[in-house]
Amino acid sequence: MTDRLGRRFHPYALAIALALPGIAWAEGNKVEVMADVVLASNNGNKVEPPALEEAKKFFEAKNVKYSSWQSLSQRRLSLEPKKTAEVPLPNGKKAQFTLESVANDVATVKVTVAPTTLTLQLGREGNLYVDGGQHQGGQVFVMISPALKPAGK
Amino acid sequence: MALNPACLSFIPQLSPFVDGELLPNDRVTVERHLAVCRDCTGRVADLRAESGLIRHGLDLAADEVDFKDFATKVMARLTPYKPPLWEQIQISLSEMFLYQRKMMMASMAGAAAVLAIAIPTLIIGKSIPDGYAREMMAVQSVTTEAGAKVTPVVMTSDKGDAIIWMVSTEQQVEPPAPAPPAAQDKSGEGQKLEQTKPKGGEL
Repeated sequence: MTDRLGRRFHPYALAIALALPGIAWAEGNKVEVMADVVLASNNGNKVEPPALEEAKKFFEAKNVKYSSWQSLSQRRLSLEPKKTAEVPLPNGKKAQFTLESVANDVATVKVTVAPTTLTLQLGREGNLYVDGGQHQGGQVFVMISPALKPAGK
Repeated sequence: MALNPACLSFIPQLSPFVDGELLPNDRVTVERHLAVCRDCTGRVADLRAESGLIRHGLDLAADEVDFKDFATKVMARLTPYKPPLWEQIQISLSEMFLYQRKMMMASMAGAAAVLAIAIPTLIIGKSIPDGYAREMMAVQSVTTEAGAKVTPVVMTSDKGDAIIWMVSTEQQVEPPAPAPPAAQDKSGEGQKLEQTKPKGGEL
């Protein structure tokens, strides 16, 4: 009995079993990114949420002035290879996100807001503002930013 | 024959006495009584003779039975016992810790060392999410659908920020003609597109 069971449950198998959860935890190929839909206009002076002041200043530095900035939606996208995630825009358009590849831990993402498609590499700093068309006299932007903090924090 | 009243308490103990089932103290008491009681001594002799006869009779009966394949037949009728998996694991672990204690302790220490190295490494590695090895966001290319009457304009900053505008080219392409190279599959980076006037906002 000892020999039979001993062969079946060898101590090395136990060691491997203890290490397996860690190995499994280390795997995973999802990449997360924040996709906010923002409406910039000159109707009023409201900047909501205040974090959009940063966007307002960046645009002003490029000589593009909008007095009102409003966040219409905020989404944390979990992108998987070759699967498309969609973000609806208020003007009926939609922004499509596809994880093209992850090479050397650098994610390449394709973003399509018809008729435009851009390919970008995710980084820990910076925000990308993609023209989403016009809506209610303002300009819709898809703000793409890094999702560095774990979800819910 | 009149029964000796002293024998009344000993008679029930005579059969266990013959079979060797009495406690030592009771056995000594019975032996003392037998030493002085001829009737009970006779009863004990009768019991021993009866026991010998029964044993002899059973031996004779057993000789008439063929026990040649008895063990084989019994074992063939038994269902092999297969313990549940959890019980197998418990037995295996207990036996391994009992008989292979050194190897088990070494294996556990090895596994603990692997985890002690792997977990902090993973935690540190996980402080930067997957896909974010690059420091800043970067636009690699911007393209438009064939026939789209817009051209992309990319405004970047040294902090990784970028604006990707779509500027109408309808006035530029009139009369209708093949779209200019600027409107098709055009990379936004490395071009002086910031000079193009965006369609929204106050400049």
